[in-house]
Amino acid sequence: MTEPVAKLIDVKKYYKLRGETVKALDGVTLTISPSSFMAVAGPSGSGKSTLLNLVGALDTPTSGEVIVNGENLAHLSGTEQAMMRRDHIGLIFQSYNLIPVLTSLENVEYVMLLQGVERAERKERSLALIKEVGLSGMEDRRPSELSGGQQQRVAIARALVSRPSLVLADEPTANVDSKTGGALLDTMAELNERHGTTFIFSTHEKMVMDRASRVVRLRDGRVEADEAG
Amino acid sequence: MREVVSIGLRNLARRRSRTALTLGMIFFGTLLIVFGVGLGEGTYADLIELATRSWAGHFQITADDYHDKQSLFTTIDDYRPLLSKLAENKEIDGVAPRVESAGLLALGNRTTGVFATGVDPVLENKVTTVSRTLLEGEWLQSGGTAGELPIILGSGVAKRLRAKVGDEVSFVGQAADGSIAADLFNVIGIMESGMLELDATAVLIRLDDAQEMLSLDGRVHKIVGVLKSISLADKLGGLLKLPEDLHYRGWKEVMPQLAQTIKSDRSGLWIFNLILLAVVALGVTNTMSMAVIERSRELGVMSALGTTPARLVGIVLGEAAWLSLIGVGTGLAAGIAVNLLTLKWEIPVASEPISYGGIEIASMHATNTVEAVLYWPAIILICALIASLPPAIRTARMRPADAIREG
Repeated sequence: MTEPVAKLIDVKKYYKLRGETVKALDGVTLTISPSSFMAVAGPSGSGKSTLLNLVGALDTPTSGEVIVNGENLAHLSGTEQAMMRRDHIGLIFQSYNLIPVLTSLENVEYVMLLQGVERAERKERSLALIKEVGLSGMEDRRPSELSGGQQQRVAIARALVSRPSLVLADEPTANVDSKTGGALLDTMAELNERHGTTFIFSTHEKMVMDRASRVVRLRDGRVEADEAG
Repeated sequence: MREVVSIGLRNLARRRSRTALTLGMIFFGTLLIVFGVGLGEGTYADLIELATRSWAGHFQITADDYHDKQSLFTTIDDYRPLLSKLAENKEIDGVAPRVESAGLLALGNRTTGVFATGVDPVLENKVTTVSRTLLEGEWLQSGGTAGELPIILGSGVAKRLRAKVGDEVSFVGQAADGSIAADLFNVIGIMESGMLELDATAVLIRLDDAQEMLSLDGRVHKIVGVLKSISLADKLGGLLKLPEDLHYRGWKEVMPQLAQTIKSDRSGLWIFNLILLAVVALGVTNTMSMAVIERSRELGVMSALGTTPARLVGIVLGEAAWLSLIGVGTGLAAGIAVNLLTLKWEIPVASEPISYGGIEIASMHATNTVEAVLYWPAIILICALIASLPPAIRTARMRPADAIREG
């Protein structure tokens, strides 16, 4: 049997907000297989982003276990978690989150730089991916010189360039028009098919859900439905 | 490492006005400390040089307990080989032997207590500036005619005896063989060194005359010397390997009051510098804290992408290092330049001249000492880096999700 890319066992995440406990996730159990193209859907506040943050080792659960690539994240130090993200997880944020002082090329190269990849190889792979997401000629532009769609394409290139086994995309098409969103999804679907990269999207857009091979619906921090797309 | 340097520099360029303000603070802090320390050290050096060159010398060598008891009988016997050995030392600029004795000096029916010092007219002139303090008359000459023993009186002695150049005075004291030491001297000069104690009691006679009068043939009480660099005064004693019955004293032991005055003044300067350091450190902490708060989202993203906590600290420190290096570097260069300018255009002392034992300094200049241009700037640099550590560590400890959310 194939080892799951990620596994959540009775995961709870509670916040304190103005003295009241908010149950962002309330006992979620999920197994995510390799090469999945999966959407986590639900209304605002249903726990989609929290789930992605926990799988991406960006946050820690109140209770329960999060296992990624066979490693229980609770057993990893801050440095080990950072290395796990660097080597195995690609992240695409809703608001792009590019590093403002770096150019498009440098943003895409950044993770490989952390990995210690040689400069020439970094550049070659980054330029190839920038071309693939349709941004050739914009390598030297800083984020402030790019449109929202262009920034999201750079963010996708950045998430994929280090060839992670798992890509977490938090509402990747939320801030771009539907045509651009469709094109971005095409790019990711192609990479999923070609390289077997696992994609988990958080979304509330039908277009994204229609493209997913599996849709997990969350409501009030619980799994409401888990269905094939 | 390269990205740490690059990101740090680019972030500084991104927030130009804040960077300029912080740089200005580090720049002026460094400039003030380099100038302040340089000025203090320059003034101390002038004061020490003036005081030691006037009479006491940079060091003195005496028979073991002479410094404490000043006994006529405690002498350096056969001093000439020692004098030659000292004169050959590369660190020593000059040495002069002295014989000393208390006694009474009389002119007509007026008598006063004096402290007579026998000096070598030529060697003394190379070691101290006492020959340049004559109010009238002339300096001692080697040799001379028998029966005409020259003497120079301190201005206070001359005043009490109402003596003038050309008068004949008689000295009475004790000789080392137990006899009475007595001789007639011809006043050839009156000196005013500015040192009250010296002017009030000192009379100078030739070394040979003093040795003969006091029955100290071939013996002296002390050897006074000056060095090419006064900074060696404390260490030279150990290097000379003197016989056990001789004692070396640097100027700090010879003039403990002056050494203490300078030490106290240095403490005051330290406090002033520490206040400046605190201002610079607070400024850097404030700037780095603001930078970290403003960029917590960006730093959170870096962490999310796989930047380890240690590397995040490095990125924040890298930025602080650029700020500190540029600020301290330019401040240091400006401080050195200002210090050099004061060598050309000395700073007049505004109200009253700085004085020690009658010695006055009317103007000051700053010197580029090791303390001024190396130690203190290095301390500022280290303080600035340490000051940026708390925000750097706070960044590294944040969970990426929190940092991104808060940003």
